[in-house]
Amino acid sequence: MSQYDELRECIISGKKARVGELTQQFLDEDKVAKEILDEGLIPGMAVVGKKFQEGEYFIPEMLLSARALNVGLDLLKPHLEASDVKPVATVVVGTVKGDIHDIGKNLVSIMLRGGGFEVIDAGVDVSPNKFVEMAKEANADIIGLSALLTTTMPSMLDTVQAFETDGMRDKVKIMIGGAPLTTEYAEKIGADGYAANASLAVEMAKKLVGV
Amino acid sequence: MTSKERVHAALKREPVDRVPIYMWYHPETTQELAELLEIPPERVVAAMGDDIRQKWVGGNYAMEGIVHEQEGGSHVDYWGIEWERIDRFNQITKYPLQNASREEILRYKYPYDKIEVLIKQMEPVLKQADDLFIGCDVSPCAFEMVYRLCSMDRALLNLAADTELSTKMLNDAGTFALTLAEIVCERFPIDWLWTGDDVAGQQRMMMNPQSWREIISPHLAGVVKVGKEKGLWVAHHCCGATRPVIPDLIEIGVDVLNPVQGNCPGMDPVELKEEYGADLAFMGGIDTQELLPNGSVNDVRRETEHLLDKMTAGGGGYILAASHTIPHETSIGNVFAMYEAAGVSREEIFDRASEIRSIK
Ligand code: B12
Repeated sequence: MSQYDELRECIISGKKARVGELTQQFLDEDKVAKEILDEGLIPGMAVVGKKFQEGEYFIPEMLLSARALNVGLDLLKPHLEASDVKPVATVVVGTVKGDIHDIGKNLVSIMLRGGGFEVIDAGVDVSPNKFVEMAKEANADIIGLSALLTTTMPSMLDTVQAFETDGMRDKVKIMIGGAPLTTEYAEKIGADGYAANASLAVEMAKKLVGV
Repeated sequence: MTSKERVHAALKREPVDRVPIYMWYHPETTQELAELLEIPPERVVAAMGDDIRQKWVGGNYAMEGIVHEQEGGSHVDYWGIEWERIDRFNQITKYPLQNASREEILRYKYPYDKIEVLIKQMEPVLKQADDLFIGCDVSPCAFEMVYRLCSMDRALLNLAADTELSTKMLNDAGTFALTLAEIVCERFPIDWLWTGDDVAGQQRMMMNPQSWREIISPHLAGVVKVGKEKGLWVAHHCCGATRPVIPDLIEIGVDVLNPVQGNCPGMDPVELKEEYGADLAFMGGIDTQELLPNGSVNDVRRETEHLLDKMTAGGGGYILAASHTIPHETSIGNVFAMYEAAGVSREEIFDRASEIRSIK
């Protein structure tokens, strides 16, 4: 039994009001924000990811947990910043040029946030140059590209090349995902990794930054 | 055989002169074919020999029926949804209920007063009803309509966060589709009623199949029943990995399943045919994610021949189609290869094109 069990359970079942109450309560008790994050929120989301991957949870349940997670994260954020706690890494996630499918990308963002990453959501229909710009601005470690259409897959290659042209390629790791994609395609375009779903995306991101 | 006879026969599992065909083209592919065949784009499907003509009278009309001349052209439809032409297709740029309060959502009214205008879409295709197989699309029927109104995120979240609101929104969507179905089935001599509701992704269903059964399927069942009671065939469209609910679709009376994305788990068309072919016909299955855009002409011919052989086992129950819009990066050679495998030669297509030119 840990004092964070209930918080974890509330993340898993998506009870946002209770997550807010508990997080605030821990903060009021002078618990360290990083501990609340590492022992409450993150392990909760890990279970959510596992349930999703094993087919027990579907997108609605995941969104419900994400909503609860955000309540907790928002409360912790000022404390984490004040104590100079760094995220695992910073990721810019977006759907590539010409493509507006965003649910998959959103789920990836959710799970990355739930895994302790700082996530900047670039939105949909994002041009290669925009990705480069946002990566610079955020000082990103990882770029996550999503594409759901065979027609827009080439735009991933364009994005990888834009990073090269800009001299930024060795500063970031690039991972890709979406319905028609494969590890082979990632290799072919010179991306660093592919993940088939949002949980595996977190594992891949961790691998890419060596944690 | 006329096209009409051919499709009916295939669905009844009776002998046909060739498999019926119904392809969805990307506008750029249509354009390319039109230039090659030297005919207007709107005559391409006729030259290719496709057997089915269909129009949308529901929400799909706003997406497919209004064609903007230029990229960036936009309109707000009867539902209050804003569309913009992006890469040749209209895409939603504003969901009317995305940020609406619960009260606003409860007050939202479907465009019943526009039904007469909507169903007018059917007039031009009905003129061809003697020879062609005519469909009427009343989709999206439930969940997909809800997400067009309030965005995918909100629609999905609500399924878990506010079941009551979800149920109400699904009811409203379902009732509108049902009304459309009743009117078109009553008024027009159509051959099939086309229903649809996208609820699955590449790997699996978006929501738990059990919640689909509880709050989405009853609305589809209502619409399907209207078609069945009129003695029509009923086709249903749902992309992605829908295997868990195929038995349910059969049970509510669906006759034809589209688009059968064979590379999704559980969706191998041949396997589906073996398991459900006695009760369900299929339209689709030619892969648009790898085969058509990246395969060679030989690959496409071989795959199509293989599929035709297996999918028409037991006397028919198959309509040749790609597993969605043929992506525009598909070579024209690959398009012809599908038709050739189905017994429609290039010569035949060019002959029909020249006939079309001479009539003009
Ligand atoms: C919903 C949907 C739409 C919605 C999207 C709404 C939205 N807000 O996203 C709308 C209606 C807008 C739409 C439009 C179109 N669509 Co669409 N769509 C789908 C559908 C049914 C489901 C996609 C989905 O949301 N899945 C659920 C999510 C959770 O899964 P996911 O995106 O795959 O994401 C998971 C993984 O892939 C991974 N992942 C995703 N991104 C990333 C990123 C990274 C970095 C990592 C590591 C992992 C990762 O993790 C996610 C979670 O586990 C698919 C069917 C399918 N088989 O996928 C067709 C599909 C993708 N669409 C298709 C088509 C053809 C279109 C249109 C061209 C149709 C048209 N004629 O207008 C347009 C194109 C619009 C455009 N320019 O982008 C085709 C594409 C075929 C092809 N050749 O590539 C598909 C495959 C359908 C089919 N039958 O073939 N579509």
